[in-house]
Amino acid sequence: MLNRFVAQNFLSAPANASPWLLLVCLLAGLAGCEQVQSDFVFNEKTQELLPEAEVKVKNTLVSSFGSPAQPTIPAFFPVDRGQITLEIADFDPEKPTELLIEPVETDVDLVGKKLQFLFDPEDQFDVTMEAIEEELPDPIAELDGITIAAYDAESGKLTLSKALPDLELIEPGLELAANPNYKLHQGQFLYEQHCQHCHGVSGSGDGPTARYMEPKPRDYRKGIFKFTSTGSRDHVSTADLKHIIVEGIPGTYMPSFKLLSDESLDLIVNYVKFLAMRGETEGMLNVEVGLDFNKKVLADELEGVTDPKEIEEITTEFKEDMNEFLEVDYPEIAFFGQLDLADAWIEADNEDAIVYASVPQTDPYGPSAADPSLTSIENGRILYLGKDAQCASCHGDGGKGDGFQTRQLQKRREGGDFTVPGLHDDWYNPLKPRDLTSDIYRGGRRPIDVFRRIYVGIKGTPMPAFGGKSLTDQQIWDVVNYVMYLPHEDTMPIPKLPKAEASESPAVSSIE
Amino acid sequence: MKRLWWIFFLMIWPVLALVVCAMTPGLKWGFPGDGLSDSTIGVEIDHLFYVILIICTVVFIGTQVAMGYVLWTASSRPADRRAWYSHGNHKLEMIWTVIPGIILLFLALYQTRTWAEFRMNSAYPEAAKTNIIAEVNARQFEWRMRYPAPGKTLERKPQIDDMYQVNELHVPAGTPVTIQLRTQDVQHSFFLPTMRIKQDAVPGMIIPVWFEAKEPGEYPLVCAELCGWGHYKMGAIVIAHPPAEYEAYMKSLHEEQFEDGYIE
Amino acid sequence: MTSEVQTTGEHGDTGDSHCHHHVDNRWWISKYVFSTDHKVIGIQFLFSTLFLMLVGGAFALAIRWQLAFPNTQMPFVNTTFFAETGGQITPEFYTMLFTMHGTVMIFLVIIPILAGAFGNFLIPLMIGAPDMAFPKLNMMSYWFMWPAAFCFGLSLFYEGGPAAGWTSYPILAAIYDAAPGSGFAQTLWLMGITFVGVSSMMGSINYMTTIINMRAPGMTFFRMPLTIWAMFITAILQAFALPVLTAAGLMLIADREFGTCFFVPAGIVVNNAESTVGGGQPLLWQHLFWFYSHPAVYIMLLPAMGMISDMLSCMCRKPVFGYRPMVYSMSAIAGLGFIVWGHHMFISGMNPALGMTFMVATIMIALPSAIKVFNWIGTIWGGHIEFNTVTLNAVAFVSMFIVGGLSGIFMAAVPVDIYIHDTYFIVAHFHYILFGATLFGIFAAIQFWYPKMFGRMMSERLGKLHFVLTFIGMNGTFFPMHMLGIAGMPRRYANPYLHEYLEHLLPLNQFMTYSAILMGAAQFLLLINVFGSLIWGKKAPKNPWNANGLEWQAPSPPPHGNFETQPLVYRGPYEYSSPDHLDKDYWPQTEREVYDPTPTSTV
Repeated sequence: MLNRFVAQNFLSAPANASPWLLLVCLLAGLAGCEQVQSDFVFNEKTQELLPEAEVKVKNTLVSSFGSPAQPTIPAFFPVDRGQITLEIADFDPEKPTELLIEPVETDVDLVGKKLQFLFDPEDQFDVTMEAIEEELPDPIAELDGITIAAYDAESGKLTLSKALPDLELIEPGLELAANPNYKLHQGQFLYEQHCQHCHGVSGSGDGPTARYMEPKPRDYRKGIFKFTSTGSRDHVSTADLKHIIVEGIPGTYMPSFKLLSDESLDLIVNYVKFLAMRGETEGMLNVEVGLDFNKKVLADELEGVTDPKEIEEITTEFKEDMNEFLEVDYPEIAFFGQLDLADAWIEADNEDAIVYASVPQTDPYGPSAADPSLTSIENGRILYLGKDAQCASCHGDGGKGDGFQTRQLQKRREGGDFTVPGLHDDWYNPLKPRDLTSDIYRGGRRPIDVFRRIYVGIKGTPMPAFGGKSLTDQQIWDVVNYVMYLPHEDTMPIPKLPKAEASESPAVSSIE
Repeated sequence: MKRLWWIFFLMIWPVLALVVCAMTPGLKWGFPGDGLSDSTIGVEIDHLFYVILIICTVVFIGTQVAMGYVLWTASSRPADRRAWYSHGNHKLEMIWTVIPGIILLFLALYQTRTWAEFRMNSAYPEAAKTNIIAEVNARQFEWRMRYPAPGKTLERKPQIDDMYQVNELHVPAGTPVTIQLRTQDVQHSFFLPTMRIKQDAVPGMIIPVWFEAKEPGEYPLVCAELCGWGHYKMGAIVIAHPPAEYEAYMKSLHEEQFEDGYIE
Repeated sequence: MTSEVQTTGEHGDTGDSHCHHHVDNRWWISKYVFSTDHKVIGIQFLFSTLFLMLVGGAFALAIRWQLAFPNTQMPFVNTTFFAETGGQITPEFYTMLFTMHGTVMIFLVIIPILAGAFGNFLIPLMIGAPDMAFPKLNMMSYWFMWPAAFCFGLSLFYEGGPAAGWTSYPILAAIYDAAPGSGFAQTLWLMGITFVGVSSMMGSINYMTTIINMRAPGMTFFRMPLTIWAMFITAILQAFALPVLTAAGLMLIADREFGTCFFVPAGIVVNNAESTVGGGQPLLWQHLFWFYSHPAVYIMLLPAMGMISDMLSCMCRKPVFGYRPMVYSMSAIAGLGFIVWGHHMFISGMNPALGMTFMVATIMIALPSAIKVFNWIGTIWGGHIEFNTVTLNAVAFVSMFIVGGLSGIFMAAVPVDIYIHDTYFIVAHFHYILFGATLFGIFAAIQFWYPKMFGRMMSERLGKLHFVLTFIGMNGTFFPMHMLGIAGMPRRYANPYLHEYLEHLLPLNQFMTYSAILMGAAQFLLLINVFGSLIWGKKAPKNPWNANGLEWQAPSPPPHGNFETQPLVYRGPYEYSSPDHLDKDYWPQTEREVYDPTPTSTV
């Protein structure tokens, strides 16, 4: 386009040649500029693996998840890939480039689309393992890159771009996915427009804009999302992610994307899930492989050994172990690990995973269900300050987010103290407990939202889950009522039950 | 050829400019949407805009034609004829000082009523003075609205039963409404392009803004004052309901807002 | 024209004539680098600003790229800056881009090229003085521009650069860790502004003193060329308005560095930083800033207006139409210019009654501008014009100024401004004034005074080509901005198409970007013309345009000390085609009357 423009506007005009030459060079430079491809970045733990293991892990990630330009994901992950599902009606092994499929109704032209075979994951795994054992080429890998060369809508005949390998799994009734990662592509495009400059290409929360933000954008790769409606050990649900994108997170730089169409929002959620799954898979592999075979383990074994011969022996032995592990155990670990992750995501979208209150909210000004002698707010206050919940230890007696824990050195998960006093999240960013008087509720301000924050905690942060353990649902409601009353404390007195006979418990009088 | 440059200044560029302007509405480059304002005050603003546009078009054509003409005569003057030796003309100077002066003064005075109506408290429509429906809180990079509970009036300080919403402002259509505009952080600007309303949100100030949506519908709300890197992301929507539906909507919003998630 | 000039030009004196009477044996550093000669300083300003214009233009093209092809790979810089996003530009980089585009173009290009380059070069020559009143101060004024450029340049490399816009409104610009670009870069930026201010201040004091005290005998105020009048008025504007900006800038630095809170109210929380202590008012900054920056608009326009009057008169071989009204209207613009700053703040939330007052003042400022336009047309009227590069650029100045002036009325009218404030309409308006008017004036002036500066003529062919391409590119870029403004596209959006009601404007924006690329590329022609003509240009005579001004009586280029003998002035500068003087169609100011002992009154 630009080149044509240059040709039309510049080359035809008669003039002194030298400036034109300069102009044309300049514009050609503009038009033919170098294309930079963005790519997923592997996390630092992967870089710490020994080279052979590192290559293996990286290969697994690339073959499972592709690149931003070509995102793919194994079919067993619960991500809406936007595929067109076809079903094999008949297959004649004599004609390996042809498939008959059940009739489909689709507006999309199938020709030229990529084709993926949706085998049962475990069957597929067995086939691969068998091939490896017999040192034959993996027939599943041969299916890569097959596209639809022609499609006859009347007979349902698909002509493929290359011959199918001899594989028993290909049989009538097997489902196929045409254009398998269509929605990931679309999601990637939207993610690039709206999210990438903060959350980064790999979803690691380190986009170029991120460095100016407090708090930092979420790093999806741990699969941990703060505000969920699911249980404290569950993954985030799709609805939760969408809720955050629609409503934004007040008090942070995560804005609301309410004006995007529902379809776009779904695509973005989908892509975010994809990034989280990719990151989690990487993390899982790091743990599984890195436990025994990272550079540090080898260095530990070699510590104190000075004899070069011995060093070589230990190293060789170590590498032999590793190669054996990589060949025999690794494929299984990688495959079933991903399958487990996928199951966890599927469960999070299960209706059962969502936390609801077992009792309705208590009237803040009425008697508390947990302790009918007090108003709900009053009882909430006692719980807030008390030993069981210990809210005040972080959030402070007045709810200002200045509890004593914010001034103490905290322990790191893998041992040792943080160098800076105060709380930290799982990404080791310093964290301030919410100032409850500010009237800002990051995870939503409906009573049920605040209830869930207390019930399931805030994942990835020191805010623990109280539900079902230290507090009953009735008590949680009291705390919710007190917390939501806190911003208005200076204009309203703490409500007390009007009845004179409401006996004052010693706890209350000691506090007052 | 050398002399024909006047054509460039008389014929080509001003004519092209006028043609482009004339084509603008057809190409949808003009006022957003159907080109008509969606608020009552916007109609007046559009009217004033067109008044100025007409005057400016006449002046533009006049001056460009005059310039093209003098360029033409000056360039086609025979080589042996000297230029006209003149240091000016007092009468002409008076004419072209006084006439534009009068026109400009008229323009200035003609604008004042609409401005007063938009910003001067005393000139507000009666309904706008009482119908304060929400506080619009701008922050990097979204709009957070605070409504009073149904049946209550908006207090300056947040109340325990207030309702909150992000990037969505619900108003009744067909009646002037006032919002209290403020910002939590840097300066923003409340801009309703299809209603022709704009007001900066200044830190430390609460500024009332009134407008009347003529019809129920959805209208864009954007930020028009640089507020940081995400300035362009501050898109929101104003939803005007028929008055009856508005009441119902506010009630449903209240219910949603205080949902305790208990399922029997 | 030029060939004619060679034969009819006065005495055929060429540039090297000064060698005979001045043996200039200053060290080359004090001759060409730390020179106190107003001409060298003027040329230093000219070359520096032309270079900085390229820098500012590169910023502009980057902005246009993002608006035409949002979030795609930006040419040239993608690998350097955006490797982590795969070449995609980030929004904070975009805010930095338009901030720096405005800053560089206003503070380092237009103001210094007008006052610094042409003011310096022309004032002593046109009033018949050997140099400026304070030559060392003059030299410092140039060398104070570089610390400013250094501060601005350095700020680019600090965490996202300054990104609060060239207006740098608090709170965005006042809270240190509030937002990207509000870090130390913003402080550096403010320091840059202070340096620029000091530089301009030294210049303006110098110009005023020189014009008041050093005019040649016979050069009364009303025999001064309009260029000098314009420079004089500009210097006054600058001297009175600049201290306010400098003070405001220092206050903002104090807010940022020492937490003084002049402009920061209480209880503001940005980016989860500590809540502010407060006590200040953001609107105060806007008042102080615009108290300087509105007069600055006239600082960026008046000198060009003056130069255009001189050039048009010479090119039409005709006296300026209404010399005194021209002077009065310039003074009126300057006077009114001090009381219209509030029109930048109509919707800022200041007292609405102020809005009315400022509106009336602002609309009335259109009057002197209109008078000037009519007078320019009157100047051409009945003239004997030749369309060379100077004429073309000068006429384009008038034509573009009309558009810019008329679009200003829309914004002066408060109710209409409610809608178009901070949309692309304002961007169109000030680019028509600053590019359409001022820069075309500068192009004309470069072409016109180049022979005097360097003793060589510039290429007419390249000049015309440059004019045509720039004119087309400029209108293609800025005219559609009016439409964008009316369509409600706000300024400073990194990606406007996220909003549904702006989506359809993408093709128009792409067209504008193509035009901008054309316009940007055309500026290389100017550079080639300016630098190539130094070597290949035809030798220029003393007075190539047959003009009347004093500067044309000095050799080309003038030697240190300018004039061979002290010039004496006998008449005004615009005695072209005078019936009293029939042997040639011009009558230099210094030429003593031979057949009429009493000089004709010139006005």
